[in-house]
Amino acid sequence: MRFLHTVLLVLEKDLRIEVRSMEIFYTTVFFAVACVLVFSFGFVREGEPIEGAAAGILWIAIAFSGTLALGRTFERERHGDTLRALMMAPVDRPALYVAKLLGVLVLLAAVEAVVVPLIALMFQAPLFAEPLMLGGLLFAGTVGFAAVGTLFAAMLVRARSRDVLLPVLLYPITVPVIIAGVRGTAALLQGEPDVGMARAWLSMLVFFDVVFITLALWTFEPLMTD
Amino acid sequence: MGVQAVKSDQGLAHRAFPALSVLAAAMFAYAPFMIMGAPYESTMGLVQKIFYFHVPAWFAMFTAAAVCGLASAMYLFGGRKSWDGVAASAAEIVVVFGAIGLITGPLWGRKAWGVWWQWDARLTLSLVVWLTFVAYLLLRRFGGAGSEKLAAGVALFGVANIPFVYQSVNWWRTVHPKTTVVMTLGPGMRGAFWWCVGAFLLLTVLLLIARIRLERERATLDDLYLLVEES
Amino acid sequence: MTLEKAEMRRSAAIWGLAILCLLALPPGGAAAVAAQGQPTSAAQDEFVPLDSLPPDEGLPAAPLVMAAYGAAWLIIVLYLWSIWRRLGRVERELADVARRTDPTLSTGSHRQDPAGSLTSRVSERDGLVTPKPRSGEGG
Repeated sequence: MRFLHTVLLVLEKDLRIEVRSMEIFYTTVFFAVACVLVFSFGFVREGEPIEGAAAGILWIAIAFSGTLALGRTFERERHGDTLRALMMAPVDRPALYVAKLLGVLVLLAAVEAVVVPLIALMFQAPLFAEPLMLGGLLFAGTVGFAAVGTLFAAMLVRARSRDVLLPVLLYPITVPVIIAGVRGTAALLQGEPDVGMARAWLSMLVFFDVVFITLALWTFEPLMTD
Repeated sequence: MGVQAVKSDQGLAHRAFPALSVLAAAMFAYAPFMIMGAPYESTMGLVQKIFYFHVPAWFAMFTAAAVCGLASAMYLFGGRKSWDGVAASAAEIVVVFGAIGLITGPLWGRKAWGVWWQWDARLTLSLVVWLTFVAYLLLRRFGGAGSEKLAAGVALFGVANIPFVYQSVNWWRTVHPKTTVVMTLGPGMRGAFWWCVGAFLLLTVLLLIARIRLERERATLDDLYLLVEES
Repeated sequence: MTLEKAEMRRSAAIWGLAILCLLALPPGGAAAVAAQGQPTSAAQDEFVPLDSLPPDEGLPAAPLVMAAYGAAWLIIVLYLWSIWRRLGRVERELADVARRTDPTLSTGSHRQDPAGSLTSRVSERDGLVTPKPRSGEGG
């Protein structure tokens, strides 16, 4: 109960701060849209998108804007040194991790809500043919990405060169998430949506999420304490 | 402790080092004769001989990665600084042997498959693991104070990631020689192959010993500097 | 064992290893027949041994094999040399710190145990106090 209580308190604090200025939300969404645009120039040939481009661009946009959002969220914490204050509070450390993770997830969900219809529009991609499956893939993939990203971003708060080190550390670890997300989404976007294939990729994503969230909860405290 | 203790600390490893070095050098010196004596492979001919260094290099890389992951876990949860030294040393060795594998592989692949690179499971996994440990070294070098613990976390996640990367890429088409190749090697090839594996693993151990010694002496130096500052 | 002797033994071992490795030439140079291989679908499931090479056209394999082995040796030797160099530097610094803090050393009277008095103090501290980070990066 206390765990949940802590999580909700910290989450509410973060959301409330964000809602006041909406700074991270607006800038991240715009960045994601810009990403989609730039990649489109690379992958659209003679007015037609390359096979499988839509799925790839979607997940690249999520990865890039996710990295940005993670960096900005924890930069805010670093400014006021509030992360150290949080760590000193007599609460379960893993609860802090979960709260931060949920905050990042809310932000990325909002970004995806904008980017997914945009891609469906720009690439004439039938993204809403299998909405539940796609939603599942997006959710599981975003959780996987954010789980590792939140941990790494939190632990890099006091490090030098944190801006460039976060993607450098994060991308090799989240390769399975990107592969599974892209291939799963691509399976859904085919002429005949291959739901079985998408389900297989979804199960891998869920397994990844379980393993890495557990690992993150386990290592959060030793990593964050001196 | 200090300089004397660094020597007595490593005890067995330190005393065995010169003998093991000679053994490793002898194995590497003899290896080319075994490799030349091994029969040619029917479809790939001469270029397949790269295999005798390419695969052992990967064996060495993944062994070092396992050592690094284990040492990182011990450091994170046990707290003893000496494990951090082991982890840092192992990570460097991962990058060294990974580089060998990543250079010899495409040279072989160019001839055997006609392309420098294929996105198959083992190649991609090796590249991702190599990149993860390069990132580990970058973090230690540029992360500033306290980055040893963070790096331990990265190593732990990197090693945990291995089955996922392998499986996810495996669901794509692969042209890499399948794992069964090693088990079905003919007697002429088997000897040379396992000889090279032995040589590479021995080299890994030696490099680890030497590199860990460097870490320990650095730690001693740090302690001495602190002592000097305080007094 | 004095510092110098230990250093000499260690460096001799590492250099011996490196030189013996260098003496072992890559086998591709010796078997300089212009042997070729197939471009695709080569040996997927197992290697099939042959006694002599079939003549064929295509990329010459010998330069690739030589480049591969050459690269492997080069990387190993470079890494060995890098460890040796760093070890040398640290040991010089260790001796230097010991000399600076123990004035009797400069007269050469304690050459057997250059860092003796200091190291015993270090061992007392070990386990009692964890050292503070040297150059703390302000948050």
